[in-house]
Amino acid sequence: MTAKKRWTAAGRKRTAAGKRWAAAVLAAAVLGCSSCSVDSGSSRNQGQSAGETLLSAGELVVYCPHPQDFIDPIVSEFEARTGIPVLVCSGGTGDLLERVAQGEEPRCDIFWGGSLSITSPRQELFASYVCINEGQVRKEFQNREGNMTRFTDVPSVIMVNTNLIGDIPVEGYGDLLNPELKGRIAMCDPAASSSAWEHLINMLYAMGDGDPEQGWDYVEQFCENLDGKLLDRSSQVYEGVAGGQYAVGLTFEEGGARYVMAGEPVRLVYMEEGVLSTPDVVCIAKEALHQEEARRFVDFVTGWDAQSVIAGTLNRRSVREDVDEPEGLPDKGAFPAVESSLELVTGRREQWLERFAEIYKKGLLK
Amino acid sequence: MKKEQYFREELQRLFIGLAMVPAVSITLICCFIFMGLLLKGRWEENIGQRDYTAEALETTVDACSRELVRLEAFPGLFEKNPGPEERARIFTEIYRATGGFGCKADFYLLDADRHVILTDGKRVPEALQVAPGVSWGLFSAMEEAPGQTALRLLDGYRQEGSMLALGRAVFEGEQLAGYLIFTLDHTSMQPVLEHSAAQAIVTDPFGWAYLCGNSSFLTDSHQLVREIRGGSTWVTYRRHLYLMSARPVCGGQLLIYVLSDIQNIVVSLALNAALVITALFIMTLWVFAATRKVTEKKTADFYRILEVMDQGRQGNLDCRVQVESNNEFKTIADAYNSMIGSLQQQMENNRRMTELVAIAQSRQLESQFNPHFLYNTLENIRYMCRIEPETASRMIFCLSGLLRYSLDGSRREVPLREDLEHLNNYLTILTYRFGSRLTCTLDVEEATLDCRIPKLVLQPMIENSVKYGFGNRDRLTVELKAYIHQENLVMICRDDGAGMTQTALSELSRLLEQKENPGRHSGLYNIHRRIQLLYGHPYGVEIRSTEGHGTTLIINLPARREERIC
Repeated sequence: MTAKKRWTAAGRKRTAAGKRWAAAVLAAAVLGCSSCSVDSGSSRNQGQSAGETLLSAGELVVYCPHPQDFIDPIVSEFEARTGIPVLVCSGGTGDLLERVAQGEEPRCDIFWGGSLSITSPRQELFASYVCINEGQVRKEFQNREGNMTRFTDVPSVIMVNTNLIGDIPVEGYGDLLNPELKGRIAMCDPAASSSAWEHLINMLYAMGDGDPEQGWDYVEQFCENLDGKLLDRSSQVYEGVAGGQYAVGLTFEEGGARYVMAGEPVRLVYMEEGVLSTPDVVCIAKEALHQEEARRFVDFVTGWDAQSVIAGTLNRRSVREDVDEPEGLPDKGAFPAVESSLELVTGRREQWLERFAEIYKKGLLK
Repeated sequence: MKKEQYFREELQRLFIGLAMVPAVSITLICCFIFMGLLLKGRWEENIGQRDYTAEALETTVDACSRELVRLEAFPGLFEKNPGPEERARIFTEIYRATGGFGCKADFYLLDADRHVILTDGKRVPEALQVAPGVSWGLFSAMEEAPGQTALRLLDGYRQEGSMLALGRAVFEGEQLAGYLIFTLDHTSMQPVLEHSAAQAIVTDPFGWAYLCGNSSFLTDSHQLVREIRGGSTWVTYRRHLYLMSARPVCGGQLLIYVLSDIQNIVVSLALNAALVITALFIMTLWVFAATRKVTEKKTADFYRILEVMDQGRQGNLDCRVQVESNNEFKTIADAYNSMIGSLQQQMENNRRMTELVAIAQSRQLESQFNPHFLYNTLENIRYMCRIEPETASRMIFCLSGLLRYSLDGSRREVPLREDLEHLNNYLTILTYRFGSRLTCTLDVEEATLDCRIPKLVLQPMIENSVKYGFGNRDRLTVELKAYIHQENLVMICRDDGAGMTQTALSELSRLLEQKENPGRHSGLYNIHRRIQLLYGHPYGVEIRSTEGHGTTLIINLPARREERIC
């Protein structure tokens, strides 16, 4: 018995020693591995710190419904000129406004884009700032509210794919009721997109002969011709028409003009019944974490250089007196204009959106 | 059972200590070392790609800057409408410059109004078509730093792809004369990225990409994704693990990021390790199960021997060890079996010997009949012969019956009933002898009559009372009782005679416990000894007596009826 006991003790000692040995070897292996990545640490550090400072410098957060191709040249130029990095969050105007109101992360500094008729009802979200270029801004685009700096003038247009349209005449809203276009019209939900909302206002005023209440008959007929197709984002309209999914689309001037300038089989129609032209805005959010950088951004995009480039190569109409109308686009005097009352339109937004949704739903049931 | 577990634990401990622990550790160590080596290789490749890209970029950009400075000093550069000879002279210089870059560069000579004077490119990039006076892109960079070479990434005009532009604004005195610009298209620098399998990306400080071999690292805006820009050495992007190194070049105006995909290395080695460890785990379970079987089989003989020994210790000697295997245990088992066998034989012999001795002693004791009684009775009969010959005759009849009964050696046990009959003979004789002086009452339960008792037990009890009870008294009453109490037959003989002194009683009690016949009080000793020889220790005669208050004899026997236990 005693012999057995001694043997057990020896066995235990042996296994305990084995465990210690294994642990030591493991530790050595881990150390060896980590050291092999440490030896190149010095050369890595400088690169890494460069990468880190880029993102930690406090990016200016820009909420923007503009097309990506429009945003990128301006943002990259702003970055290069000021050294301020920019983070762009794109989306539909309505959606982005809601995110500003909710204070979602990343916190919005700049709200850049969205027509005045949609942004002005939410102007409590924005801090007052009058940019340094206000003196050069045309009278009709002055920042009357104090926190709504106008950025560009955006007329609504009908975009036509010339390969698909054939000999169907499209000169205005009236032509969109043509049964041959049924289901071939790209229109965005006015609740989601500011360009679609502008078109709804445009329709009501143009087809109601100045009285928006008279325009709803047209809207009903138009919705019927949509054949249940309503898009979520304004980019789907111009991309859809240029890509051939739709024959015509209701969009804003710059959205279609890019394709015209690029030589795509696309033409723009300024509605014969009248064209509504509403400015879009660039505003500083009240909760902005980078107020100083945000002001520089507003000053930059309304500046002569940026506005000249926007008008010269990006196909938008400047709000400045000292910048010419874009080349290749008709002068504003060349098409009939529609005047709307900003007060009336902003006051009736909810009501009109609801009515449109009802009509659209009715069309779906049919 | 505890011991069997001890064996099993020892086997398992040996296995784990000598096989499992080293196997697991070696596997893990090998995995770690292997992974470390592979990662080190990837890291070196990564650094190599990074430094190669950096060197290529810096060499080209330096060469461009140098040539720009050289060309700036070239006379007559900005003359409008140069003649063919002049054009040839300028182009010779330009081609000499671009020839040294090692990659294709386009040259643009612009006047102060940004109209092209000379170019070797097919068309002027849109980024260079900026209206006069507008401070934008490369022009703003050139004008902001006159006398220096400006470097700018031209991006955002996606149709043409990104390009790197180097330019200088040339002044004649205070007057802007024009611009000298080289552009390096991304296609001309792309081969630099193909130095190794590591994926390099070149961006400006804001993440806009110049060169990128893998468009999945870029956003729709042609910008490097934030996960990589903000990452450290270990980057996870789209659930893939990368090693990343980054480095600024050209005075921080460009950044090089290099990513090496290590997902496969990490996943395959982790999987490997997991597989091996799972296999070892299953082996461990198997070993635990197997050792149980093995120990059970190997130690079965051992525990069989132990079990039998344990039985033997508890008195059961009938068990034998059955060992099938032919090993040391077999020898032990055989030796034990033969030892137990001879022990049992010995014990049987001893038991028989004891029995024989007991029988012999018992016979000898039975055959003793008190000669005193015989003498007294014969004396009485002689006396009776004279006065009552009739009675004497009956006394002789009783005495002869008693003698015959005591001399009958064929049986050692008789039913109580028979012993009582012969007691009556004795009592008849006593009645004749003592007349009314002696009163004897019998109180025997019916159930006891069939019980077997040693022959001639009752008579000595009465005899003892008569012998010592009278003392100096005239009368004596003797009472005999027999009953069954707790499976024992109890016979009590009580008298109201003289009793015994305390010393006499204790001496008598001591005499009863002796093994040898003491000679005195031989009647009581006789029955006590016989009972003990026949039935064992707890049975026998007990005497209680107080001086002047009579004596009580108590006999305890196992109650047995005609060969069967009651």
